[in-house]
Amino acid sequence: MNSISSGNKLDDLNDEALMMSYREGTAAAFDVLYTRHKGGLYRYVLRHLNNQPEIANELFQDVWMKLVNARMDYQPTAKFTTYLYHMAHNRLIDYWRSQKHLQQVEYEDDVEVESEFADPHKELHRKQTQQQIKQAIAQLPEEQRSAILLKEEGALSLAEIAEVTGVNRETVKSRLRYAVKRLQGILHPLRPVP
Amino acid sequence: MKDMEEDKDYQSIHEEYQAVANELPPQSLDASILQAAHQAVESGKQQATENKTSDALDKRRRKKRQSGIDTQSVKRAWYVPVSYVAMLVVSLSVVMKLALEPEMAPMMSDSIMYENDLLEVEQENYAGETLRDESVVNPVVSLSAPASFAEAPNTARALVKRKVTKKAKPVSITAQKELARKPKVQKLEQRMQLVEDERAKIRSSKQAEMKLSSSQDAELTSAPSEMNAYSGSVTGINADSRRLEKNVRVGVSQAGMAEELAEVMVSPDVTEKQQDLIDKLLLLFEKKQYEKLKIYLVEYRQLYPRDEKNKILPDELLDWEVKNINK
Repeated sequence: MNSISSGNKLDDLNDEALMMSYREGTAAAFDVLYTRHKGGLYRYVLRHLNNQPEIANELFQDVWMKLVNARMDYQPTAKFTTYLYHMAHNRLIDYWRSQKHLQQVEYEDDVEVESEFADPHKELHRKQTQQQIKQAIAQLPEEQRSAILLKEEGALSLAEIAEVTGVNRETVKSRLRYAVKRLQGILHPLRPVP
Repeated sequence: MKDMEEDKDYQSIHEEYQAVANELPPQSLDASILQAAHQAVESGKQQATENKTSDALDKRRRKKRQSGIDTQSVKRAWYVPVSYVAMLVVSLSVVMKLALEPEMAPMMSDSIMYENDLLEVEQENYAGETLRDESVVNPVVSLSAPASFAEAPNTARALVKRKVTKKAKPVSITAQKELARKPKVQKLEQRMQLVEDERAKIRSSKQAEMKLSSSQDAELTSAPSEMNAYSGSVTGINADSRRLEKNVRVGVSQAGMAEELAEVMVSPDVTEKQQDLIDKLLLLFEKKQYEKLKIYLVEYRQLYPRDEKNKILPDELLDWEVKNINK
């Protein structure tokens, strides 16, 4: 990613400006955009596919290619992340329809994780926690999972989540609440329910 | 996160999730995606330059079209003048043809009369037409002599009448003028041909008629009969056809055609009654019944005095009259 370091000015730009710059022919602007959002988008897709990296990689690449091909049609009327996660959400729906796969897939353990933790005990604890969260999210209904992941990975607001998922803001809020409660019950079963 | 910041449960889940959510795509995948993104930009630039070049070419072509001649409009433009020229040529050719061959043009005045008159004249002059129309092969024999000239059998009278009528039929002045305009040589030649054809037919029919019995022939001599009338008409027609032929051969020039026709065609003042009498006279002359002819001719002259200008009777009869009556 040598191209990223060369564009300090580009780093100061917001997502919408970078996308417009890329549309006008600045390839380095895309590099910055990709670096900013690749992790969250990858995890979003990964969580929806119950941590299956092969399929996640494919869909992840499809989403970015779609963005590249539609760059000339991009208009900064909406937030870039909303635009990006909207494409990802639609790609997931297309995948599920093609596969007729609405049930949760068996949890996968062999996921490469770049971790900065050197302590093996901490590493082990982290891994255990990570697996628990993954399993908990995998157990959520699809609508609640989408809502919580868009919130966590995309950092979208309720209104933006509503725009991505095609429902109103209050529905998104209730979905999030239910998702949080469910995760709390899975992760902390011994905690008292309010 | 604004919307859920106040929710403590959400905050704890958020913190726990963010602590473990650190998966990233493989580097190979990153490289492929970035490479594709860069290539898309490069290809877009190349296409943009190509579009610029084609746009420039289009602009040049548009300029040429605007400044120069529009080929399509030029292609369409020549249709109109060429069509005008073609129309002009066609109209001129038609006019020229009409000017050179005036008989082809329809006559504006007395056209119907002209056509009818011409038809009658031609029918009258062609002896074969009259013979074909009559059933002359079946003669009606009448043993009784006619009380008068006027009581001759109608058929014979009709035959003779036709023979004479062709000369006595009045023709309008307009028709004469129109005739004069026609290609006179062609008409004369046609008439000559028709006369010769009819002569041949008459000869062949006459030979057939020669087989009749002598008794019929004797009876025929006492009174005008179909056969006599037929043979007489044939002779008369022969005489007239010879006259016509003579006229045709003599008056070939266009200048003399009107005079020739005037000789053949007679005064327009001849009545039908006079025609009948003339027919009978001719019949008697042909049959060499001169005694009767003399009587009838005197009677005829009482009604129609001899006029030098009025040459209704054929020359032979006139000569005979001069020799035998007007001594």
